[in-house]
Amino acid sequence: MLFRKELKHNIKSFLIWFAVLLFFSSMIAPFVDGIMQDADSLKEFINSLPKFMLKIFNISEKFITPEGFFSAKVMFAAEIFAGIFAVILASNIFVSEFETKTIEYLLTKPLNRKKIFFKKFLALFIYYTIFAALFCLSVLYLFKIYVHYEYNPYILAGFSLYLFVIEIFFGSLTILFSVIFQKNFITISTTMGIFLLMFTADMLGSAVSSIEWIRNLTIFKFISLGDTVKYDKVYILNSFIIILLGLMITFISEKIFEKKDIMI
Amino acid sequence: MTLLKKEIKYTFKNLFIWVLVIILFNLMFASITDFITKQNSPFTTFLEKMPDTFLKAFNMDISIMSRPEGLFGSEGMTFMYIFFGIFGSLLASKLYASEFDNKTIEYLLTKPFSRKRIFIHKLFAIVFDLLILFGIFLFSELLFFKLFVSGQYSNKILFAFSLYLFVTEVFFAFLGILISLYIKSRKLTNSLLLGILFFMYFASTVTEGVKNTEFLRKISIFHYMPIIETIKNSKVYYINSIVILLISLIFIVFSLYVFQKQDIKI
Repeated sequence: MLFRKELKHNIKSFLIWFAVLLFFSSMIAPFVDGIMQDADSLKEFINSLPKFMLKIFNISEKFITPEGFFSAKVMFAAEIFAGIFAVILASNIFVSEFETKTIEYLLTKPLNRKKIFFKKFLALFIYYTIFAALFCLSVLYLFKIYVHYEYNPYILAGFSLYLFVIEIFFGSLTILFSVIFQKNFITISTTMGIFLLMFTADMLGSAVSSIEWIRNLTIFKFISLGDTVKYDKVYILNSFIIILLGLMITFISEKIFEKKDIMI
Repeated sequence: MTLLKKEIKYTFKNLFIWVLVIILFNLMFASITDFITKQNSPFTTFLEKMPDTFLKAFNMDISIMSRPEGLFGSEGMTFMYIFFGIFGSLLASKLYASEFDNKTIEYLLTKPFSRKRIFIHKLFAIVFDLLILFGIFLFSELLFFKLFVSGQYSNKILFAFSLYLFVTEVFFAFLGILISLYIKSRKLTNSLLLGILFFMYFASTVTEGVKNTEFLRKISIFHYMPIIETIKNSKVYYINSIVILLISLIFIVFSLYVFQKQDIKI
């Protein structure tokens, strides 16, 4: 019952977010095909450069592929989008109960706290999975229709996996802060602050070798879009580890939720 | 005054977190700007040889890549536009929609204040927070650039960045107030506002170079505060900023009217 209620109450928000992402992905697929028409001239140019230059600029022919363009044009923004979607949805499902004081009513139900927590988490997990799965299916479908050049669907599916990883990680952080602060705005602010700093640190660490160490403090280094395209490799193991880390944070949050007094 | 103080107090912790993140963000960017602009000089030579269609499609402009403001504008402002938009949206939904959500609006309306006064006190609290964030951004940006950046840069351009962020946060906060009064649900208000924010942001950036998408860029506020043109032409888009602020004021006037007239259904 609680599980179904959570799914029902958040369906409108979910649809708004998904519609925006789908709309822009659908516009980009034909663009990728268009830009690939000029790709040969760029490939020739890259191949004519001395090898040391390619190394300095971390440039490879692999970027001149439909998935390479998609990663540069869409995935950068899609990652920010997925992170913020994850934070807002998790805060809707968890911290809103404290804010609207419906948590008191919920705790009078014949369900223990553990059950309440995991039913909510399951609803959240299902939304995250649907979001990433629909993104994956729609991108693969749009590419099939519009892109007439050779591409690697495995890499495109990998991008969706990364979105899922981001959702789980930042969603679980939001749950943790939700049970600690029990306030909506501060929970969202803290998680988004961490997201912004991690994203920026990864970007700047990639650009400046002397501060490359800073990337180790972010999850984005381990699901790097650039390396995925460059080495034609989806970082499945890293994704799995980050998801596990997210689940661990969720588990800790559940323990806090079980023990902590509700501040009304 | 009590109401205003209460609202400012309730949002203070959040404001503090955002201020801290903004300062760290500016510190990170400014401290490595010199390294990157030096690295970029051979990269600029490389870019010059690239086909024009690619440069246009990826919104790259060679002339700004080697300038200190260019790095901050092309990379940093991407995040800042989104985060200032989020801050404005969340603040508005917190101060307006959540009163309905938490059902505290009934209690608030029993206080010896007119609806207009309640609305304006809340609005002042929002404007206060928006101004603080804008001020901190501008101050830390100028300070860190002065401390860390040895190359030549323009304070006018740095001010333009801050102004655009202020316009963005005001627009989304004021639109958020209007939406809050209609939807009265914080969850949905947040999702709708952030949906609009991302729609506008994607429309102005992701569709760049994509055919037949000009109309989408034109309905986005970000289209009227273009970073590349600001840096390239050393021009601050004051008129556009004022027009967006005026549109935001129309939202407020309309919201005030709605708030004064609407029946509160709990």
